[in-house]
Parts: sequence; C-alpha cells; structure tokens
Amino acid sequence: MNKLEGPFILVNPERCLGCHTCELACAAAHTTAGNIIGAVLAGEKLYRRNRVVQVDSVKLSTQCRQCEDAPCVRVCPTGALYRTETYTAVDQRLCIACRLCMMVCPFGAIHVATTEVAGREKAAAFKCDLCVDRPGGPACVEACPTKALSLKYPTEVIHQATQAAARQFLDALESQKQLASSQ
Amino acid sequence: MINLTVNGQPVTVPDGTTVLQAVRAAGVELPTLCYHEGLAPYGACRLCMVVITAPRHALVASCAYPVEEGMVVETNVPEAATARHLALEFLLSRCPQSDVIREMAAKEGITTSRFGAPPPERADELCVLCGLCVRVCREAIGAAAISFIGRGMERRVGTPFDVQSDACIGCGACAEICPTGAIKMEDQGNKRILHTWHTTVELHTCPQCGRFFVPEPMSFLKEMFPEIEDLWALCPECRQQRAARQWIEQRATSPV
Ligand code: SF4
Ligand code: SF4
Ligand code: SF4
Ligand code: FES
Repeated sequence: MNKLEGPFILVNPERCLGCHTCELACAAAHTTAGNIIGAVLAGEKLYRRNRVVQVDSVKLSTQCRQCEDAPCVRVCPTGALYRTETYTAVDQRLCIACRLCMMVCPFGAIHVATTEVAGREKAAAFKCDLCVDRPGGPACVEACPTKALSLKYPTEVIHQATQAAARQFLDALESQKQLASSQ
Repeated sequence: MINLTVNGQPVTVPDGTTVLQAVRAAGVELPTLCYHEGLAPYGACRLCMVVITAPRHALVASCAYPVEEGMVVETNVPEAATARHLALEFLLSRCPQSDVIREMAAKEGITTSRFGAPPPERADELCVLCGLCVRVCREAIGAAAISFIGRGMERRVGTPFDVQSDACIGCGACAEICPTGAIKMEDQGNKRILHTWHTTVELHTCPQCGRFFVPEPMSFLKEMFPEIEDLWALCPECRQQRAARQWIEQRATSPV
C-alpha cells in the first residue's frame, strides 16, 4: 500500500446500499452548473470520478486513494496530473489522453473520456479530486444517504486504529484479571 | 504579474504567459490548430496571428509569443484578420474535405480558397501538418515513432519507410490529439491497429474479465512501477474490484 498523507475518502461497506447516489453527486459536482438539474438543463455531460462496485454480496464505492507518492503523477508526461500537499488532481487542458496514468493506477481510479475542455472537445483523464473547488467538501460524502462515506485524514485513521487496538488490549487485560481472580 | 491590454481590455497574467493565453484570459476567441497546452509552442499553423502595437509593432503568432509589460494586443484589426484568413485559405486548399477546417474557415467568413484544390491523389487529405502527433509522440511520450517526411507539397507525417514501427507504444495519443481526425486507430480483438502508421500492437487480455486492455509495448511501465507488477494486465474495472476486495478484507482483520 502506498504511503498516504492527505485526506482520502473512506467507505464503510457495511453501510453502503449500492444506490449510486454518490456517483451522481460526483458527476453533478464537477459540472459548471454544480448540480444535477442545472447540468441536465444546460445539456452538460455527466462524468463520475468514483464507481460503486460489487464484491460477492457486498457493494461499495471506490475512488482515488490520493496516494502521496502517486504513480499517475509520476508517469504523466505533460504534468496534467499533479499533486499538491493534500490531493492529486488532473488539469485536463494539459492532458494528451495517452492513458499512461490509467495503466499505472493500482486502484483503477482513472478513466479517459471525451469531454469539453476550455470550449473544445477532447479526450482527457478523469479522477477524484476530493471536490477541492467545492465549498461543502466532497459531494459524495455529503450525498450518501447512509453516511457510508467520510473524508478521513490518515492520522485520524491511525488514531482510531490505535484506540481500537488499545481497547482490545484493555479488554484482554480485563478478562485476564477476571481469570486471575476467579482462580 | 504582467499587465497588458487585449482589444482595449486590460488583463493581468503571470510572467511567462504567451500572448494567446492572455487573449483567452481576456475572454477573446482566437482560432488555433497546432497549439496544445500540454506541449511546447510550435507556431506552425498561423491561425492565431495577432497584431501587437506596443512596445513595438509586430504581426505575431500569439501561441509562441511571450507577453511583456504594457503590451497592446489587437486581434481584430485588418492586418491580423487578413493573416488568419490567408492561413485558413491555405488550409482549405490543402484539406477541403476536412469538416474541422471548413467549420473553422466558415466562422471567419472563408468558404473558398484562392489557392485551388489539392491534386486528385490527395483529394481526401485530412492532415494539416500541424505536427501535433509528431510532437506529442516525441516530446511527451518519448517514443518518436513518427516524423515529418518529404518537403514542400510532398510533406507529410509517417513512420520511417512507412512500415511497422518498433518505437510505437500504442498509446493512441497521436490519434487523440490530431485536430482533424486524420489518424485512423482501431482496436480489433487483441490488436490495436494504427492504420495511418502501418503499425499494429498487441493488447494484453485482462486475466479477470478477458477484456483487452494494456498494449504490450507499455510493459516497460512494470519496471518503472513495481507496485503494479502483480496487477499489470488487469483492466481498471478489475483493479477497482481487487482494491475493494482488499479493503473489505483489511477491515475484517483490523477494524478502523
Ligand atoms: S492521460 Fe492525461 S493525465 Fe493521464 S498520463 Fe496521459 S497526459 Fe497525464
Ligand atoms: S500511438 Fe504510437 S505513434 Fe502514436 S503517440 Fe503513441 S507511441 Fe507515438
Ligand atoms: S496527422 Fe493530424 S496531428 Fe499529425 S500533423 Fe497531420 S493534422 Fe496534425
Ligand atoms: S496555434 Fe499558433 S501558430 Fe498554430
């Protein structure tokens, strides 16, 4: 697994209904209109950056993991894919649709499609950018009806994992004490 | 930052910006053909001609000309329009069959060319010699599989000797970037055929779903990115599936 530093979208598969609301919210958030009705009325094309997949009977959304040492950023020959301190995104104006990023993304999180960029039709790469330009943060997180998605900071995840581990340890200690006293 | 005016309208752009970028930043439309944001400026098609009246008078290709403090740019003065119209007439006489060129010309009121029609053997020519394919393959991809061949009226693009290229990695960037759709590329089963380059590359089969995905000549990426070695031939959908499965398993063993 690649080292992560900035935030990323975390999915709780136990909560995901597979309703695809997040996909629609993602697509709408990246239109000029910024919402689904406006985008449809303006005849804008809709492209989602995430995808709900099914693994056996479990459904969950998948998207870019925001790798810190991102292979897509390293491979991109034009600098269209870039990384800031906290996220990776693509500047579609620079994209030449070579698909090298698609080939190296371990998570299958990038796709190339024809779209309108600066008034011109062209093929360009699409990926999750954590809705950095959206005041309310990631649209998928906001739209999920069951709160299966959250924007997590790796430190938070580590913190929660540490807490969980500590709890297990204390529980184990507790039960040992009980064992000791019952002997 | 640099301050200049475009058609009388003040704009402020970062240092190192081209006149074309400043023109577009000012919201003024200007046709371009050989320009691509991701590649170095080339200045070949002459469609982006503008007149600069300060600091000195010049007729320039805006895509390859850097901005200067206090510059005055005019896109609609007769001198600029005439230069663009001339370029369009040249293009129209070379590629009368190209919808893209015809539309571009019509937008500037040009429907006929004083330079006549192409010879019968090139009547269907779509290539405008903008060099985008050659440049993207050399500059960005680093494959340099194609180049300009011949001179004058005979000038065209192709692979050396018009035979199968061993340098082509089958990325398709040339076909995607070509503004007139002159490059024919097609996937047939496990083959990607670049008809215009007389080149065929093999596509790997996704071991999970059987779709054809990665071109074989891109295998060098495996060495560059060891993290993808064991999922190399998987298509993006199957990679998503794999990542999702791993996440479910990871959660089962160490709950977050
Ligand atoms: S498809 Fe676009 S974003 Fe991806 S590597 Fe090529 S130029 Fe970069
Ligand atoms: S498909 Fe081949 S010729 Fe075209 S840009 Fe890629 S490497 Fe170059
Ligand atoms: S084939 Fe297309 S991209 Fe290449 S020089 Fe001709 S018009 Fe330009
Ligand atoms: S776009 Fe400037 S010369 Fe072609």
